[in-house]
Amino acid sequence: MTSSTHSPRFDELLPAYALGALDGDELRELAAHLAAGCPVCESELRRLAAEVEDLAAAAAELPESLAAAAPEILGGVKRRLLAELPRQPRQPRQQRQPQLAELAPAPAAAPPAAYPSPPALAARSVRPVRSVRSIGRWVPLAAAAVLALVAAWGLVRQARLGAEIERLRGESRQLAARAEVLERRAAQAQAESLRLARTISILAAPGVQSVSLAGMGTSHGAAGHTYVDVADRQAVFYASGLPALGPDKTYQLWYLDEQDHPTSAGVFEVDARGKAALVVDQPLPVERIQAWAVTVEPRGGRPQPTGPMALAG
Amino acid sequence: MQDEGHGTLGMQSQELEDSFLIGQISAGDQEAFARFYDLHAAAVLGLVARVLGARGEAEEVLQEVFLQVWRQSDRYEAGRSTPRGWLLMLARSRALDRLRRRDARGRHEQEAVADATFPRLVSPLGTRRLEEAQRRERICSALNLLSPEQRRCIELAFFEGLTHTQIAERLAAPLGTVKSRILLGMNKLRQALSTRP
Repeated sequence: MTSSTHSPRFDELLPAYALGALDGDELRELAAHLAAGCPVCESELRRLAAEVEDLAAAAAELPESLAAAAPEILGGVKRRLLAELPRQPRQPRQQRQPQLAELAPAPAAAPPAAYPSPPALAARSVRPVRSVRSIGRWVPLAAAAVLALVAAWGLVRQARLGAEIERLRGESRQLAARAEVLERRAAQAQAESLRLARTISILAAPGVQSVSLAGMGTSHGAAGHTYVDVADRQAVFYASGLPALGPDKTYQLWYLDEQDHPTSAGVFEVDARGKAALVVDQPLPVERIQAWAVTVEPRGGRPQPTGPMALAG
Repeated sequence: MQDEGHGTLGMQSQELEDSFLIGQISAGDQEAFARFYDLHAAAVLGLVARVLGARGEAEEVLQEVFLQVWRQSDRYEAGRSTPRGWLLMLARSRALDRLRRRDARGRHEQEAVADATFPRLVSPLGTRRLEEAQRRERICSALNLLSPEQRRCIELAFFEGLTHTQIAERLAAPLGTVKSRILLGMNKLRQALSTRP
């Protein structure tokens, strides 16, 4: 048995349960919880059982209506009992059968009578005082008691299986979410490593040209470097000291030809420290590039520069 | 002076004797059974009579309960309750079974619920044992701390075996109100009884 998690909600159900007053969904919920094993509830139930016993002790006073007749009743029953004892079968202890009744009080139609309660089956062989014919009454009752026990056990099992299925579902949802996160990270790492590999290949290329870009306007303290791999017609761009932009803005890198005509080389964001890196992987007309510049543009970039210049060189 | 000592010592010796008797009954000792009956039958009769009201049925249940003791005394678990507590819970359980069967047959007796309440005061009659009288007095005064509504809800659950929903129907009260009356009532009893002498 796996123990289930105790919740303060059960503390509120236990007094009514000990009294036999719990019913409906609350009874099923608590019964399933107890069946799964909860040391907190078990020890609380013991205390509550003692409380209900106290109530029984208080109630165990003869009502006045019976006070006069009591000695006669008590004497008569004692005589009948002592005459009956030799004929009574002694029941060997049945392994934990009573627990079933304790753990799973029957549903609302037959609420738990007491805690701890003896099994309802015990009624089977008791002979009523008044009428021998009434023995016949016990047979359907005993059968009903067996059915109630079976039904109660079924309920407990169902509740336990239901809880287990729910737990496994939750676990599988968590695992799926975790797998998704890991996949995303793996994809990011792969992209990052590809970018690094390309950066290295550009920087390590023979005849790489370096162009420095200086901060302009509000990006006064910023600096940038473009490394152009002339042979493979690609470049990598680094910047530092650039101020962070609002969510609707982005930085855009341009190269300019002999006629100062700008062409976009991509957009980029800066990190928290104002640094940025961009691999320019479009084939560059390296012979014609005269200058590099960075402007601030609306999010997504523009075909032609529209915003203020942040770096130029 | 002698009585003061008897209060606590008497309780312990009573429990000791009861435990011994239960062991003997398990071994088939009829004399032990007769002694156990003499000690506790009046309490069992009082309890089942309060649940059932009708004298005839109370008598039958009294017999059923003690037959069950004879056959199943080995099911008594010493760590869980005193022998007398176990016996009384057995008695309540059997009396409620009988009550439900009677309700199922649609037979209602006039006197059925006449005494289905906890006694307001401990009667000096019939309480031969001082320690028992003291215990009941303590519980009765704890019960007196409850509001009449809390007390009524607990009585309906205890004496008639009614559930939350059935009590709400009987009293024409909202279910949530009944639930909180029982919870608060039981907690109040717990507090009062936890300061045991």
